[in-house]
Amino acid sequence: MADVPKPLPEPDEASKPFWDASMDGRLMLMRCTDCKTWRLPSRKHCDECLSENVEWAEASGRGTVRTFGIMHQRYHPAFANELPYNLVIVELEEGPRFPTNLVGLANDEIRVGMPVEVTWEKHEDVALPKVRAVT
Amino acid sequence: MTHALRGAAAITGFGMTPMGRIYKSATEFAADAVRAAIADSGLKKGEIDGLLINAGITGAVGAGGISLGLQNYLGLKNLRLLNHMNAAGSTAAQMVQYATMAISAGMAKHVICVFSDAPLSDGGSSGAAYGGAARMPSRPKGMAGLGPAAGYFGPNTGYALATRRHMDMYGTNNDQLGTIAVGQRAWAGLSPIAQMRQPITLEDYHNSRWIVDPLHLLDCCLVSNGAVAVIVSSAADAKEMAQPPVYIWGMGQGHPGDASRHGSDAETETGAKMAAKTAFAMAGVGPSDITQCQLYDCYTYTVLVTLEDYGFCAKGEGGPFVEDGKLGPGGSLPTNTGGGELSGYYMWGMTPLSEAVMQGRGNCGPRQAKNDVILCTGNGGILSYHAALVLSPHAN
Repeated sequence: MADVPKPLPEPDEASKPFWDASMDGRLMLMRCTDCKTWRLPSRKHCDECLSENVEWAEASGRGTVRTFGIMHQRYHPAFANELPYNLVIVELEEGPRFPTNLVGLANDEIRVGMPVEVTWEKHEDVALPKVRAVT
Repeated sequence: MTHALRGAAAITGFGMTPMGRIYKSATEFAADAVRAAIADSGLKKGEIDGLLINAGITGAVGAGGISLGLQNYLGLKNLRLLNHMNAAGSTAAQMVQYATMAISAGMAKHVICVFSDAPLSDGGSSGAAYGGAARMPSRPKGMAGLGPAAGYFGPNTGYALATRRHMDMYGTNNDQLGTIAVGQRAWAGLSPIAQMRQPITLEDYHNSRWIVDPLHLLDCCLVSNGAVAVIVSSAADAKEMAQPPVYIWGMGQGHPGDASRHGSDAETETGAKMAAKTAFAMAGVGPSDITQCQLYDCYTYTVLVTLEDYGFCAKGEGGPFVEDGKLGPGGSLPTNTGGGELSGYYMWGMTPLSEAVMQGRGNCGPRQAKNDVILCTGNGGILSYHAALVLSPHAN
């Protein structure tokens, strides 16, 4: 089982700056230059005002646990040895939400609303934004 | 003033295949359901002049789901209305809505709406059908890869996340969710076509394994192979046809979109809110007029949050509202009387719609509930899409 790799994201054109910065431990997101709404770099248009005018900006990496679940069902062989593992939705201070894992805390200590910060899990060509609790 | 579409059309034909681990192609299931619905209605095949198609998950993964080609497989030559539609679990109710509008506009006379799905392979699990891990590329592209990299797979995860949010905000608990599962299983025991008929207790519910905590196995729906078809005709035609008509009194939709950033509370306030407003206004009814509910129940939580959003209780009070068992047999608000998707069979939005048609005709034997005003809902995505029908055996 351990031989099956986890499905790591492959940078595409839209997200390449995000993944390049991830290797330096920086959280780079897109921000609409017209309405200033932040977004994950997965789309050309702002989902607030539909503008294509955009800049890359470094986000704080701070946020809160919006919600979470504890994964018991084995869906993918690469995760079999980690069951049960946590899956959290983090809402960044800048607004976007994304799925990740909270590290450094037992599953039964995770709470909705808990303040967290991004910590990077480095792989060969991408680093994954995980989060840890801020004390 | 009465809405022009209130009672303008009715469901006049109904057909369904056996459900579950039965192996045929989605097209073959669809043809079986269509043949049954046409025979049920008393129409000749050539009188069908509208076809609306919903392919289910088999279509979504490109694994041989039904498509526009179904028209030719069925040999339908006189179609004045044809489309292949998908708004996930809200599609079944939506097909009836578009059929009603088209018939009222004079664009078609008898529209058949068909859902067919064959996601289960011999020996394959429900998780394999819906979890998506088997089809996951080794390197998913771009930001969409964040979910799989974190181990987020399939709708069980998304609904567990929504449920947790509701629990945290309002104190909803697993006893309350379990009461929904127990009640629907009791209904299933009264239905010869339900797949899971063995009674369960709240203890059984708690003992069922976690899928994604806070959801147990018994919070989650079945996955089934099969098909359902319904025929919609004008109210005037319905009166002359073979079956007791089930009239369409109200229709509505609501689609809040994903909870992808700050400002959305789509996990706990669903499209049912918007749909309720439109459908209840058209039907001229409110929650207190509803005599039974056939609610989309991919998970126990979906039932709970849907009841809140239709105004049967206040936001956040769904847990206390259901915990006295009022949704089960003998309760004051009979809900998902065929066992629903949790215990009956899982045909996306055709599960609540099929039971609503059987209930509306008064054909349900020991599980027959008061059918004067039936609320029938569909939900899809992660509470992203919603459609509603208010149905009745009464013309007005």
